[in-house]
Amino acid sequence: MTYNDFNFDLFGDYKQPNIDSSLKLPLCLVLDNSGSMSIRTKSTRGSIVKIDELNSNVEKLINYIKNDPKASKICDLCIITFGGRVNLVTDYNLVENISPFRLVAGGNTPLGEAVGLAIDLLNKRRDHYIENGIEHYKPIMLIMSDGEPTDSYIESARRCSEKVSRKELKVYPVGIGTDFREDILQEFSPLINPKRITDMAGFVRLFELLSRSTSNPTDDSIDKWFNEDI
Amino acid sequence: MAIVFIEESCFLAPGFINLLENLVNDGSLIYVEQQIEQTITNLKAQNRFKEAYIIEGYLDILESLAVLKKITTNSYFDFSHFDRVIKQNQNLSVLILTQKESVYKNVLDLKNKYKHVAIARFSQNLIYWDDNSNDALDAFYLDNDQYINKVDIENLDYVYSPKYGHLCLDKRKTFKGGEGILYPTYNNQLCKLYFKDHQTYVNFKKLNAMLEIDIHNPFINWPKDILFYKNDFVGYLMDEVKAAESLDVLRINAFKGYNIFERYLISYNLLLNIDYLHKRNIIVGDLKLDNILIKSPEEVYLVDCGSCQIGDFACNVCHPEYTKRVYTADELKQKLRTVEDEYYPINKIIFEILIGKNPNYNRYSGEVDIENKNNFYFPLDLSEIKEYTGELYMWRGLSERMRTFFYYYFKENKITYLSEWINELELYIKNAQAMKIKGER
Repeated sequence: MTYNDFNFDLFGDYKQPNIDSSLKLPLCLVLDNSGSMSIRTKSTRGSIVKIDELNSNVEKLINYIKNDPKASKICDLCIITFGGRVNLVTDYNLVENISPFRLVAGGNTPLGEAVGLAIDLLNKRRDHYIENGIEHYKPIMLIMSDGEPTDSYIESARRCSEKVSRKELKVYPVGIGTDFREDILQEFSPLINPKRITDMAGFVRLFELLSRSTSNPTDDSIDKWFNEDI
Repeated sequence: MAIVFIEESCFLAPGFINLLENLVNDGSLIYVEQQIEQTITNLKAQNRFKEAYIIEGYLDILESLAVLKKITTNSYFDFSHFDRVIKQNQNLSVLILTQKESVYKNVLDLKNKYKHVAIARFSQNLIYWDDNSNDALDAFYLDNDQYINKVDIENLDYVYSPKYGHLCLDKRKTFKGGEGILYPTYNNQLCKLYFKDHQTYVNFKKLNAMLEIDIHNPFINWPKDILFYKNDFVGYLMDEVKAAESLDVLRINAFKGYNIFERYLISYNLLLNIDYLHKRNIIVGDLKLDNILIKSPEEVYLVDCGSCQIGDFACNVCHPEYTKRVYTADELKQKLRTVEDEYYPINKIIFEILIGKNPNYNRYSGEVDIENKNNFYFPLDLSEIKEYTGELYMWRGLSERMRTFFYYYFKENKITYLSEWINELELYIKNAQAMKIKGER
């Protein structure tokens, strides 16, 4: 039969699933806002207050996504901070639904708990996508820290690393300044080595490339940048 | 005596009857595709009665002479059954006759496997198909571009077009792309101004060549003039398509506002535009969803055509998701793409419009498997589907031939050329309209 051989309503109103977009890019930022982030860091190109740089660049990222016609529809953004306690700033959501916020530095560095929460939320989100027939690109997780974790991180690192190895997640580990533990960040990311950023230019470049990925998830500029020598 | 497989379009070649007569007199067995009757029915449905009756007449004669055999090839994609026939008759020479390059490519494996298999087409005489080299041809490229002064386009307020004079740039709504920035003018035109690394002598020459081609298709947004700033080449001018939506946005919005039938119309009209260019040896190159604008299902525009590949001027850009071959930056500038390269974005885009999902969508993980472009999770055999989800429902709604076209392209890289795609979509649309009218009566 040349025409479709069953009752296929070509002319009726297509019943849309109850979704805001048929395609998603889950992006999770796991950000350090422990006390050390408020310390001014000296670099070869001047000094920066890390938490201020972080705030300014996260805001730029959100504005980029808001203003890009594609990124604003597909980017599902989740932000988790860890400074004293783990705080879910926003669960996976469109940026238009995210209220303005400002991160304040303080407390210790519970990195393990933060990544654990990020993985739980990602699993929940993936279930939501599958149930609703929403396609998604490989989820991205950015882990930024300037120090050593103060909690037990091993189980979270194992879960995270397993997901990366199963190709279910892309992790970009970033160490800020010179005091972070590269070997520990590496445990979360078996495929991509941690990138160190020490100055304003590093922050700007990282968030620029991340922004580009939100409008074009197949753009590999961020991978190339991570593979460049520190 | 020989075994001869005839692809149906050979029957329509003038003078073919003489060859057929010789073959039959030599005692040859004639094989045709099992579904050839369906092809005849389709031709009649498209009011192509002359072609339908010619093929029907030949089949009647061959049948009455008891030399006709029918064999399954899945619309000329799968020759495994014919392979068995060859194996069982090793002592007989085998001739495969086809007028279509796509079929030639699909039977090439048989020619490579058996020495006594020949593939030919017919035009007054037998013409044997040649193996085409797959090496990419060199593009016109200059290593050291000394003819162009580079201009910083972000600070410009106006540009000059030899045809339209000075044009003020409306900087309130600009769009930044990979090659440059798009600025509307105040008279419904768009200026594409290249970034410095695309302000090249090659691009300047290419645009000159483009302006010499007559494109009389209102849905192809062809360059209208070259733009200068104080005598320096900066870009080109084109019409602005207003009140249209990008296919990219439509796709993300799950085609809200369009019914399924309209999505078939969009696909059909898009393919007509691409075919229009291919027939003039123009390759779109940067074929992707955001270069396609939709005003209505009948008004489908191809935009940003300044990057098209014409003659030996390459298309310098590509979108990694819409290309199968991975191009380095140098390759993009120095090598020409083939029409076959264009079939990846064509198949992907049509699939996305009709099914609403990426061809590499894995329904079990929910993920787009962009790293493995050969992974295709939609079955040819519908009985394999146990539970229908949205995209499988849409997949089932395609005609059997369309499912075959997609399946063999994504699984085995076997191409169905545009003429066949267009025919099939046209037939589907006509049948759907006829059924609608019948249902309304």
